[in-house]
Amino acid sequence: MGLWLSRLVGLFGEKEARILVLGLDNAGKTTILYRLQVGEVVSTIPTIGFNVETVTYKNIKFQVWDLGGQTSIRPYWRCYYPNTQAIIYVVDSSDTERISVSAGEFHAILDEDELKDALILVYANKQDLPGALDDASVAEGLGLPKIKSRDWAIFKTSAIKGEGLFEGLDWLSSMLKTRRR
Amino acid sequence: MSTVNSKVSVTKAQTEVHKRILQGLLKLEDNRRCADCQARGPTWASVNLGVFVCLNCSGVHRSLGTHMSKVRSTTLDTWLPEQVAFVEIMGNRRANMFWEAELPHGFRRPFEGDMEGLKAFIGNKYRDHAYALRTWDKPPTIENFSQHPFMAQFLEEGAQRAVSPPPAAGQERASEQPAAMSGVSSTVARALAPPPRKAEGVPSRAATPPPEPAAPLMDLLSLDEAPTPAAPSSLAASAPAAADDGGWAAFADASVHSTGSQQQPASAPAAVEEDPWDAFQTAGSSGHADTGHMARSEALSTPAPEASTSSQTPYHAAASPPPSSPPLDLFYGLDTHAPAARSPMQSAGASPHQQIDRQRVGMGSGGLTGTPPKQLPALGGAVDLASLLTGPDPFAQSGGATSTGFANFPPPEDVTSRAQSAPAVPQHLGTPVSPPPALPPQVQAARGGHQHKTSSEDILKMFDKPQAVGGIGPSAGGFVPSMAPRFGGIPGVQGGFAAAPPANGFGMQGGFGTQHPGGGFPGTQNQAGAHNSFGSAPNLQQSLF
Repeated sequence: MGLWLSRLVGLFGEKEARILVLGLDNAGKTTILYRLQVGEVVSTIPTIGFNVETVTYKNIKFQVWDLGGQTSIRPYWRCYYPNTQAIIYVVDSSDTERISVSAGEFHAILDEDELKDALILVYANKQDLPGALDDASVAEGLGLPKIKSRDWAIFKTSAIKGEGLFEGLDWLSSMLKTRRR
Repeated sequence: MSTVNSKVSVTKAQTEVHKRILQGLLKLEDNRRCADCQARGPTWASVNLGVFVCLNCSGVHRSLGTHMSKVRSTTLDTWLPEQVAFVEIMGNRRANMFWEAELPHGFRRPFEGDMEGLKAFIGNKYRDHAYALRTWDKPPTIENFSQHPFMAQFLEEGAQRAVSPPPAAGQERASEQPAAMSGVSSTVARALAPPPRKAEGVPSRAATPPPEPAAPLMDLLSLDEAPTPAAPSSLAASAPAAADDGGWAAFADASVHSTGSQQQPASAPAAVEEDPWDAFQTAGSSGHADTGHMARSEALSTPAPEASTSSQTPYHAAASPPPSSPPLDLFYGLDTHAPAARSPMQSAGASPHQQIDRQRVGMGSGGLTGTPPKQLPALGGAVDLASLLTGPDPFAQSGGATSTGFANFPPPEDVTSRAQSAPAVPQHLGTPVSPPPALPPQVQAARGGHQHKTSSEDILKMFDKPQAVGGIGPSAGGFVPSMAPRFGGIPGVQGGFAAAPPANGFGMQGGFGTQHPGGGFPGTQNQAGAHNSFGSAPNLQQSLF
């Protein structure tokens, strides 16, 4: 019963995409996930593990995995890499001290074979905080402009204010649709 | 740009040492309760404020922004040497002597689970300085503590060993060698001597004892409770005393066992320690200590040489041809036509697509829009079931999946093992889909020779040590049964709802209130959805088997 139902939905429903939300601890991944999903700012605590939600947008059903970012659990990100269509990489733009650390993790992700086809969407998050780097600086900090072999985009976001997030999803959905055609 | 977190410069051995120091600090009376809500057994910390806090309060600290508070886990994060040194000298009691100096009499601080109350309180406390000592404009932080007048008393205190409850485990380490330190606690002296930021480039630094064999190290640590800088002969006497400080029992033990050669193990590491220190100072004065900085700023300031040559806009590159996955390798590229519909940068303001269909953003209220079958995404329909069983998408089929795993990384293929593995960090260890990542040291230790079924439990044991997440964990329902008792002990576990639907062992949460204690998990419908989707998913699985 459930099987037939899901088959039907699969036939006529939206496209689906599996998205990983990655980034250093306290980048705002969980806040972004729930901002996207319920449209609200929730209070979060450090994610030790993951959260997963489905966000439907522009006829694409994004299965969004938000993985914990603490140092010692970053190695487990890779367990989620297979079959991932896109990475949302979140940077705390106000944490200027750790941009280089973030860049290191970011490039490790880019080097992953299993993610070689994945779209790369970067959120330069926490734009609402004082001293936040703008998107150009974050891009620079991550070494984005040098990346030629991948589809990537960076957006200034503020999960708290709800700014920029859906623009990023717009880019994702348009890229995904292009690719599937 | 103060403390560069060039984590790479912290070696594994150092990290282990840091963890041990931190665990020792957490056992001290000063730090046994969350600095903000008084919950027992904090395992998180604000490294720039120098306080230990519980998981919930760490969430609030994070929400203040890193310019106010930089949160790290004592168990899951890599700390920089100067961060350890600072919490060592600060700690909850001293920090609150500053931050809560003006707390009104009879003030009722919010209790552990009261997120709204805690938000207000913590904001008032640290952001608005509402209860702080007013003597100085600036609060003592990791940036300024070596010069801050408030800290002077402690630095001196530490130096003279005048006051008995030592702030830090590491402090006595070198006091074993009175001659070397002339009565000055090594950690303090070290913390004071270098401008804190200089430490970063130097792997061997304050509060970091050399990776010595456990017993000697513990010997030293056990002296923590010793009232005097102490000739080596006081070692045996002080060790048992240290033992009544619960956590130090092991340390005391270690020292007792090594009593026969106490002087040697005690002083040797201290002596060894001097070397890195010398090296450190040398490096500092010769400018090497700044290497980290330089490397970093170079990285930041390096212009992207090719950026302008190929991308239409530097913020958006689109290299691979749109239609399908191109032959990709990292250096494939330079195919730089920008197929994207528009530059994201431009769209940031008002995009034509901006009519965000909020209704659709949510629990997968799918519209039937006649997707041609051939475009069926891999996750769709019947394929779901296959991927459920074999693929890495255990949740794929559950429309509108809402789930939270706890440190729990899906071992996608092995349903059985999923059922057994706890929602703990290394859950996937049993059946990684990809080559298993290197386990964190404690995990490796925990695993020992065990495999799949016992591993997660063992790991949980490891996490059990520091605390029983103050009141959060154990009570909430939905545990994987065999895990239940331990679960609460995982530091940082999000509530007790690491809980998994028994059938798949996956941590899902609906919102048992802990993650978002203020108002439950985002949205009640959400919760309902979560439960529903999960209620059925496992059944589906089982019936397929």
